[in-house]
Amino acid sequence: MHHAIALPALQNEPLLDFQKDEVRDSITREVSRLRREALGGSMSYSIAGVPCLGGIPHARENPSDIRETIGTVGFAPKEAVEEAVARTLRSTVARDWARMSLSARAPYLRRVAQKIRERRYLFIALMMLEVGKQAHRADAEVCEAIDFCEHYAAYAEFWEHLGGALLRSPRGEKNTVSYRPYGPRVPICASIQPWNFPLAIATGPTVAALVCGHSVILKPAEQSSIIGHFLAEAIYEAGIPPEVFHFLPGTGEEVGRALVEHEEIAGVSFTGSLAVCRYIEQTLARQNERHRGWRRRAYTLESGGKNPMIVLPDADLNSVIADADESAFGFQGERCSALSRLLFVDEKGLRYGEFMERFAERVRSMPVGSPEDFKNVIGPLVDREAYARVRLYQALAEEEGKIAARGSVPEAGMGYFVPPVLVHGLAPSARVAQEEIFGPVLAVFRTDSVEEAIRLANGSSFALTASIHTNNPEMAARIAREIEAGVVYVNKGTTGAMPGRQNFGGGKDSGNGAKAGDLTYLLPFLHQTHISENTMRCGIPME
Amino acid sequence: MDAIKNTALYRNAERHAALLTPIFEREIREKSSRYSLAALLMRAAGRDARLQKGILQFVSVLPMLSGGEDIYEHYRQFVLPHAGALPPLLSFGARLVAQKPFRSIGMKATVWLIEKKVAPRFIIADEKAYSRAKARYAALGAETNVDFLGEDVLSWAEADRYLDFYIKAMRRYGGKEAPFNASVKFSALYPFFKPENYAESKRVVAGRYAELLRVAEETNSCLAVDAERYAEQAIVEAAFFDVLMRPEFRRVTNAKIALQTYLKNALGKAERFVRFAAERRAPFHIRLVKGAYLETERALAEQKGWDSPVWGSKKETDESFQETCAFLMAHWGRIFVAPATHNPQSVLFAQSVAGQMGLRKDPRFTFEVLHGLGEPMCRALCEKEWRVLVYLPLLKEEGKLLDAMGYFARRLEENTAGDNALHILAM
Repeated sequence: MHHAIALPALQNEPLLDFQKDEVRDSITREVSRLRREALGGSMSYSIAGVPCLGGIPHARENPSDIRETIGTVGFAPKEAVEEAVARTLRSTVARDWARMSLSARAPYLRRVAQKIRERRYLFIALMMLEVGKQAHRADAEVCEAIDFCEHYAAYAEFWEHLGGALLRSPRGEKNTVSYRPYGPRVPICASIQPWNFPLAIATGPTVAALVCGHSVILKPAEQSSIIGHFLAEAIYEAGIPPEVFHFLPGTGEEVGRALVEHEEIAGVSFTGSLAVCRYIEQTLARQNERHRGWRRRAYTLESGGKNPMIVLPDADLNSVIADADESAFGFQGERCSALSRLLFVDEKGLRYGEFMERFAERVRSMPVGSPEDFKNVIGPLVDREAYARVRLYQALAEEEGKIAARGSVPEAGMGYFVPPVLVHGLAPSARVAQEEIFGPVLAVFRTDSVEEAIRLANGSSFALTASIHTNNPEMAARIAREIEAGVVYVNKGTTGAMPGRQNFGGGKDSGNGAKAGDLTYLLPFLHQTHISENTMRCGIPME
Repeated sequence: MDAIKNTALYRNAERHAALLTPIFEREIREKSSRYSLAALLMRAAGRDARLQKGILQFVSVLPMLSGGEDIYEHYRQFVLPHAGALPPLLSFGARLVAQKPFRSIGMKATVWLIEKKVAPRFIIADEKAYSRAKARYAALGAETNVDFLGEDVLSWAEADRYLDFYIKAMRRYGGKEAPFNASVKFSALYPFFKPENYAESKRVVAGRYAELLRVAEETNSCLAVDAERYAEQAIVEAAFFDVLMRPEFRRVTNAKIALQTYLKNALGKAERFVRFAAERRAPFHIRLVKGAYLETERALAEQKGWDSPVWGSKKETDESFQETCAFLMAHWGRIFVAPATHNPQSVLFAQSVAGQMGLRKDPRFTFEVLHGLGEPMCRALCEKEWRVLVYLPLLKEEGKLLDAMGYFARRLEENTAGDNALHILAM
């Protein structure tokens, strides 16, 4: 028997049209409103939807102007993890949530999407103020968060409808599949998420776990806890049962560690540094050695990248420079997909000189400053630690190579501003060419052959995104096959993945291969049970 | 929108155009060169979408290629697989030049043909060609407008060079017996010209446009502001309005701006232009075009999840052109309109409206056509004593014809699209 199962018909959330006055005005108004009204109140951690007083006050400064405190969040103490876990395990609501069908939970995600949609300008303004993200990039992130909710809701329904359709069931035997959340009767997922995509990446793994029947403890990054607070508010308002969602902002050392090490938590979704990814994997492996029952699982792990762009001499330099600029310096290079190594293949040296000269002029032209002034292409780094680290790498770039161009920073800037830097003349093994910087530093190499460029591109422990610029389709296809990356872009930059269009996730040290936005993203959160029934009664098939 | 369609002016013009279009089309066809290499290529490309895309890709990558083997690699991938769609002789030649014994010379010959025989039909390569073209059009009775190619700007240094280039060009060519007409692209005046950077984009380009207008005033030059893509067009209009409202430019009446009628809100924009002219109390010119980025606009809208800002069919675009044209012409005096189209029916429509309004001899009423593509139209209009302005795409750096292949590819795409009026006439 053939089942007609439709693939989910999905669309991405439309971006805002910034040429419209009302769009830009709404953003500016929302920033003012936030300053005036919204951020002064108490923002604290919450367990089962109940705000908990007595958190550890954490004041978040505006990275564009450190004299301004954006707001204060009550961080959870590590004991709150125990309380949230205990509360969940006792909860019949959490147990029932895990028992519900995938399609019964899907509408909750659509309501979360709607709540985020309703707060679109709020989230844009928050991202501008709390993490220094430019408005149009913040808007793209809001869309991505909505997309994750809508896509995972549709995928959940799809998996359920698919059921056992791919299994063969000969007469007298009925084979089906049922999906339940991976883990014990009341599975809990710790969702520990980063500050650089404080809304989208915090939303994606969280709602994926929820729709699969997990209860979730969300720990946002310390630097983006205010955005996390408003996301948690949206999730509660969407009607997700409070018992299955807890919001625990706090430090990685306390709350993050307590979540990772808590043996009653079925698994972890994490996006952040490679060091923490390794710590999570080691902790889970160590615990699983002596664990009985459901093994603790890293549902999704995503760390960083050292993403290359290979440029062939037949490429359009205008597009190369525009894409390289956006990928390397957009959002100050604070994206795991940011371009950090550009490999220009030019055996005869015909175009490299022109490219470097034009790109250097571009870099020197870039306005750096607060994202509240829409003219600024580059904003502040997220905090003092990031500022110090990137400054160190910029100094190192000068030692290890030659600075081809350096932009400027605001003279009287009181934020964590660093200039964009274009460096060349580096050895491929140089630290600047190998280590993830997470700042506006781009290393350029000239190579004599495509083979050398591919070898250099793959000569990194990361494999997240890559880009190829060429007008030779066969060459593009060949490089795309040989380059090690989770997402390969042709004649585009290395950033800007959209759910359902370029599902995001890498290999090697970049992550465990989960593809955010993809149909398969839900599978690690699920356990498949295959049910095979003998339908013969009295020797007669009864179906 | 229906209001303008219900006027006698519109209905009469529509009837006039419908009646005379077949005759006018025949006339244009007779004036067209049907057997030049360019015409043969365009006809073949118009018949076969894969050949069209192949030629476009090959032509646009040419400036980036370094030599025979490199050129062959791209020729092999883009053109050769579709060579069968060319006319027999061309098809034979296209295959022959790729054969090993002839390849090196064959590729050189191919590039030479494109550079020397096809591209110059659409692009003015140097000063001499400019003088020749200007004289040729003057002999027909047409004026010319210079459109400098190569407007991609990535840094302040490049934007400064662009500005400087225009100032020098006006000082060089302007102030003579006739005005010097040139088009300027606002996005080339500022390297961070983006909708998300609206206020600064507007501020910078307005400042630079004002600088250009001052020189234009001094040198008897006339600057036409080019259309940009939909997402940037609002900045262009805002900067244009801003400058024209400044006291020093309030009396300038030869400023010109393009209005694209493939936009669904073209009539709304026209209404805004008229309101602005009334507020300003001085006229300016509108170059009424259909629009050059149709497929791009559709693709970008789809990528961003927006409704397409452009009409879905040629019929709708043609109607939009007529409505906008009639509306603007009805406000003649407050603004001036220059219909810029190669579509015979649209031209006849505009002629009828102009005739009904007694503008037949008004020196401010001008048709506009593109060099190369619009030549038959230009001849036909000049013979009937309509005023014509021909847009001459000119290289900023003399002789670097291959650098203008992007422009050439766009024209090729535009005029080999299945529903393009010129393409239909050429078939």
